[in-house]
This record gives sequence, C-alpha cells and structure tokens, in this order.
Amino acid sequence: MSGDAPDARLGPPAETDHVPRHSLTVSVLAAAAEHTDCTFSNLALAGRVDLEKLFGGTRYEPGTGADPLAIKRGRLFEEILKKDDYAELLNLLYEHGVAIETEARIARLRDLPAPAGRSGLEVRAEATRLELVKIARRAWDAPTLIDGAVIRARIGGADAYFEADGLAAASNGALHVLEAKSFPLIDGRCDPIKLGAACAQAGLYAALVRAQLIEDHLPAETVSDSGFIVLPKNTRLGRAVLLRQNLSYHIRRAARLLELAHPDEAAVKRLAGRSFPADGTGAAERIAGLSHLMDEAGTHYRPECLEHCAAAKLCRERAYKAGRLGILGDQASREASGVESFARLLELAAGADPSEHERQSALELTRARKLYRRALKGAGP
Amino acid sequence: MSLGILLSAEAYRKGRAVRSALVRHRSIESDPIFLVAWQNGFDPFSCASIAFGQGHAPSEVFVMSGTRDRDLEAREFAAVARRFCELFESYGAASSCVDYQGRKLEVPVWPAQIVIPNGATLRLLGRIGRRLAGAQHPDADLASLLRRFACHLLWLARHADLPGQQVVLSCTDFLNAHWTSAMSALESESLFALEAWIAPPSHTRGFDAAVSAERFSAGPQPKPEDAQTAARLYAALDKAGRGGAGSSGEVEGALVELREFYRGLTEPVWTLLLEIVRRERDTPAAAHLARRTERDRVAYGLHLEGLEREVSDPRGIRFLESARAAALRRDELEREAALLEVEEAIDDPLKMLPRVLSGEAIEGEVLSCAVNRTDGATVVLRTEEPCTVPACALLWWSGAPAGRGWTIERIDAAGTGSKVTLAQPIRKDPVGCPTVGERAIFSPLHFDDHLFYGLVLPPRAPWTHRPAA
Repeated sequence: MSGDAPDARLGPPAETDHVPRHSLTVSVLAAAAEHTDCTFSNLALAGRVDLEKLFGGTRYEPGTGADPLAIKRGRLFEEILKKDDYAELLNLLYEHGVAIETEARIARLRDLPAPAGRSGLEVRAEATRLELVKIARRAWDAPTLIDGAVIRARIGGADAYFEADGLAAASNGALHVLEAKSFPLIDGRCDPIKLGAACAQAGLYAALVRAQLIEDHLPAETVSDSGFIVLPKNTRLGRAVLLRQNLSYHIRRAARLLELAHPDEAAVKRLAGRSFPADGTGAAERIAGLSHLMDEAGTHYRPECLEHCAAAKLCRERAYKAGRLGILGDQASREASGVESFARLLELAAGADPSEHERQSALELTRARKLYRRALKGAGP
Repeated sequence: MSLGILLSAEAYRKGRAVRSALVRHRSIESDPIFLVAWQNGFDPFSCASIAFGQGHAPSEVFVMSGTRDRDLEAREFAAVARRFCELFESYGAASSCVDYQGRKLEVPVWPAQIVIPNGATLRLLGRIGRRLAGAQHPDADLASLLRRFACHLLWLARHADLPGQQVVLSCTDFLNAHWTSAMSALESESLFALEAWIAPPSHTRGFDAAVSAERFSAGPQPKPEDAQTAARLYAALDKAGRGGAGSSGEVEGALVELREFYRGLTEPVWTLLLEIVRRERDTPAAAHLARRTERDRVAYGLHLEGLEREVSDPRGIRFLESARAAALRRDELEREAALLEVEEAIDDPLKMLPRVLSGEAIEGEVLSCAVNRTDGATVVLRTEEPCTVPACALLWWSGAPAGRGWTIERIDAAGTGSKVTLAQPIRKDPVGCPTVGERAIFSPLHFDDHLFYGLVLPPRAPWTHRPAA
C-alpha cells in the first residue's frame, strides 16, 4: 500500500477495499474534535472513511450540506476583502498593531501556475512552506500576508492538505492566523457560537503551521497565540472588522486532536480483520456492517453528535433501543448517577432494590415518583 | 435529581410525551397572528419568505426576490410592512384607558399575540427589524413605513425577552415548558419532532414519529435539500433577470416557481401551528395569567404611544443601551423571572415539585391549625419524608403567597417522616390558613414587595469617568 493511501481497513492493510474515503479538511477535523471519545468515529477519521457516503440512501442519511446561498455570501465577502490589493484588510491589520514598516508584500499563492486538484495543493503547500521559512527567519523579502496558504500535515499515515484563509506576518516576526467569516458583527455583538467555531478553526490552522515549522527546525512560537477573525461590519457586506482573539486554548485542543487522528493501535489490534463496508453494497448490508463495527469498536453517543457526526442517527437509534439515559444528554446522565437506562430508572423509582452505587439516585427517584403521583392525584377530578 | 428525568423515563415507557405542567402557563388569545418566516442564506438580515395572518383566514405568503437592487428590495419589504403594520396595529383599534404611573394610558381591549414556530424565527424578525431601522429611501412615505415595521419587529424581539410575556408565543418554548419527551434539549428545538412526541400517530412510538418528522423544518432555516432547491430557483431568477427587457415573462415565471416553493414549505408549518394552538387552548389556564396579560396590554399600549416619535425621529431607535438603561433592564428581567417562578409554582403543583424535591419546601397533611389573635397562628404539618428545611426557616403557605411568612418552630420525628410545627406572629386577619386534613405546601416562594417595585437609579450615572466621545 502506498504511503499516501490511508488504511480504511482496520486489520492488515489492503490494496483495494472500495471503502469510500474523503480528503481531510479543517471542517472534518473540527467536527471530529467534538467527539474524540468515540472509538468508532476515531477509526473513521484515521481511515478517512466518508461516513456521509456510507449512510447515503439509508434512513440514517445525515442530511447535511451547506446552504449554497450562504457559500455565495462567504465568497463575496472574500472578494470584497481582496479588493484593491487587500487595502481594507491591511488597514485593519495596521490598526490592530500588526505594524508593517515597509511596503506590504502579499504572497498570492492562489495565482501560482499549478495544476488543479491534489498536485496544485502540493505546489501551494511547498510555496507556503518557503514563505513560512522566510517569516520565521525574518528575511527581508518575507511576506506580510500569505493568501491561499496550504499547509501539509501527516495524518493517519498519509499526507493531508489544509487551505487557510490567510496568514499575516508582523514586523516583529510573529505570525497571525486570519480567518474570514461572513456572519456579521453588529452593534458590537456577533453570534458567540459561530465565533467560537471560527476560533476553533483558526486554532487548528495555527497548530498545523506550528507543526510545519517544527518539521523545518524553526521555532514554533513564531505562530502567535493571538489570531484574527475577519467579519463584515453591520448589516451589509461592504465593510469589514477584525476581532483579535486569544487562540491558545484552541491551539492546544487542535494539537491534541492531530495526535488523535491516528488509528488507535489497541482498537486496530482488537478489530483485526474487520473493515468498514464497501461502497456500492446495498443499504441494509451497509447498515448491518456499520452496526456490527459499532458494536465491536464501541461508540459514545451524545445528542451533540447529531450536529457533527454522519453516524449520529444510527448511534441515536441504537442508544434509544438500548434505553440509554445518555440520549437525553450529559446533564441527565450526571443527575441520575449510577443509573444507565430508562428501564432501570423506572424500576428504582418503583422501589426495586438498588445496588450500592444506585442507592442515592434510588432514594431521590422513589421520592420524586411518590410526590409526582400525589400531585397528579391532587389535580384530578 | 430533577423531576424532568423521571418524566422523560415515563415518556420513554409510554412512547409519547407526558405533561410537565397541569395548567397552561401562557395565554392563547382568541385570534392571534400566526407567522412563519424563511431565511435567505445569502443575507442573515433579510428573509426569503414571510407568511402571516390570523388563524381564521388563509396565510398571506410574501416572497422576496433576493434582488441586489436596493430600491426593488425596499418595495418588496414595503408590501410586507404595510400588511403587517395594519394587522398588528389593529389590536390597538379597540382600546380602554388604564391608570399608568399617575396618568391615563390607552391599552388594547384584546391583547396582541403573535404565534411563531420557534425562537430562531423571533431572532430573524429582530435582525430584519435591525436592518430596516436604518433603511433610507428617497420616497419618504416608504422609508417611514419601513421604519414603522422595524419598530414593531424590534419591540417584539425585545418584549419577548421578558419572562412570562405572552405577546410572542414561540411554540417550541411553549411546548417544552408544558411537555416532557425522551428527547434531548437539542432535538426538542425541532417543532415537528416535538409535536410527533406529543401526538404520535396511532401505533407509532414517539421516537419513530419524531425521526420521520425531523425531515421537515419549521423555519427559518430550510432543510439542506430545500436550501439547495432555493439556491437553484434564485439562480434561475437571477439568470432570467439578466435577460434584459424582453425577459419579463421569464422573470415572472421564475418568481411564480419561487412563490410555489415557499408556499409548499410554509403550509405544513402553518397547519402545525393551528393544530398546536387548538389543542393547547383546551388546557385550563393558570390563575396568574391575568396579571401577565395586563402587563402585556400596558407594554403594547406604551409601544403604540411612542411609535410615532420613534418613526419620525431618526435617533428614536436606540440599539446600544447606556449603563443605566442596561442596569434597569436587567433588574426588570430578573424581577419578572422571579415573579414568574412564584406564580407558576403557586398555580401548578408540578412546577412546585422541584422545590419540594430539593428540600427547600415541605409538603404534608395539616394535622392542626390554631389561630389566636394574641398568640398568632400555629399549623402542625405531618410530612411523609423527613423535613430537611432547618428550624427557624421562614416559609410561605402556597395558598397565601402574598401573606405573611411562617416560621418553623419545631421538627419532631414521626414515623418515616416529620411533624413540623409552623408559627405565624400575631395576626390581624384570620385569612391565609390551611384547613385541617388538607395537603399543604410551605415553600420560600412568595410575592415579596421587591418583586413589584423597580430599581431606582439616579438619572445620571454616579461615576466620574465617561466613555470617550
């Protein structure tokens, strides 16, 4: 098996297994960051298995996909930022103290003559690496802004390429990640959830650039902990605003995630010989295969998985059928400490003998049930 | 342990949602306005379609062409604004006068109410209001109409923050406050899934019904596959529009297709809203709804009173609050939240239960009740569980939450529970005592004076530093 082809089979490597795969993007990694405690999901990430495709055409199809009009908005905002040689963006950077003493130099990597597809990404990744070396060494011709930077990372035994919106270099040699988003900042406020997601994404780029610098024996501290999120100001797209954000937490989290994106040796050993279902098999067969793999690998379903994981609907159904309290969320599991299923919870509430670790919950449940019944009786005719 | 988990387990066992409230804690007016809106993915401050109307009549569906032509866009919004203002202000047509802070205020006879699917729809209305508030147009009448519409939307978005308000009835919030299913909070945001748990088809469990129902969206964000269709239809409209003068027929055709698409998205939501309102209206209303309805009428009256000033004055609409205004607003929200908690718990034994379960309140049978004009009143309560409220604690009988408090004088063990003696100092009136043999709840919840009087702050901020101009 070539070094570039990830191993989607969990046992010994196979040349052709017809398992659908996708390339790793920052959004795939960011989504995976939300459920690093799920072995099944980690195995799919490490093998780059395209779960969306595997669940396609089944009743568990995730129903994801970005709104094309929202994508159009994002593209238009990027075009506005690039207008007049990034004049507005550079002005905003000056205002935020990313001072440029000399004339700004912009490395336009998207304009490089390069073939489309993966080869093009390879060319841009190499160009990005050279520009990063210049910045880290404070070369006289180091760029102020790298547009269309591509960072290469070795994930799950194969190369993956990530496109960053922009990297800005300050005159003191510090490098700041820039992430452009099209949700607005209005009256000084923006959507905190979207801002958090943008920071997580910027943190991932910062972690990837640091890894690249370390690979080139350059100081990782060149990448500053503070990054910039570029947003439209007010209700129109015409003007931009720069939010300086401390990304240190997100960078640490991303670094951990990059470590996790390798096959779990213990799980691979345990599941030797097993594989994700191949593309083209029937829906029922695929679901049976995935269910079997979930049984063996283990999953950790939480309601939040519905937002991030393509396998979440199947996991939810399995958790519901097993009557697991976890389908209500972590809060419920914490409150009913020691009790794992609805059936057991109802038994304890009805007065069943509790085990040692169920004792406290059982006391509260019997009392709650008694009071609830009394309240209903009191309200009755 | 919260009561919610036990109710979720009950819902799981039954395969359908169970009631978490014995009475209806929000009023549902006789003829509210129903509103469904769809977001335009390109512009979060605009909408793709908006439908509204009163339940007795079919909805009016307005569809935006997504044009970048500001003049055309303003005219499209004006059509929506004209109809909405007419409908919303019609509640003020029949009014009566009430005393408000020493003056007469005109308030509507029938309170205004807008029924929407969820909180996301309300936030979209707020965003549209925020955008139109600054709308400028050479046609002064049109600009004024848009500002009027913006004022209404911004007022609705602001008023909806007030705990217990009933002008805006968000159905997901309403149902989640009255029903418990075996779904997580995240899934319960889907109105279709929630309703599937509450009223699943016969021989179908709530879970399976909800999984099927999740295919539908109640707005404002369409489902991904619908968003794809919308993008395709907008692209077709855009292409037809670029065709020049001879393409008016094509533009009209593309617009018709777009209207049909949004009408198709709106209809199931509209039917669902009518169904929910019809069913929930049958639940008996809570006793304290009247106070909140009255407060809403006053708020609406004040809004209409200040409307002309806000519309005519370009600085009339303020988006950023001063420190003083923010403090007053926070005080108002906190007082209303506290008052709502007391009212709901007094009106509904199920809403009082969490207090009893947490050991802050006691519930039991009244063994004796003695009222003496010189020594005060004494009540002895027998509880089935040991009393965990400490002696000397001050509690209020849920039957007289506005009366004086009762102090726990003694707690004696009695079987598996306790015998609790509560005393009240010298009484001037004999009302507000439970009767022997009845079950009574004593809790810290009561109508404290401070809940009814707002914070008083000096008109000017007392600190010396000022933000830079």
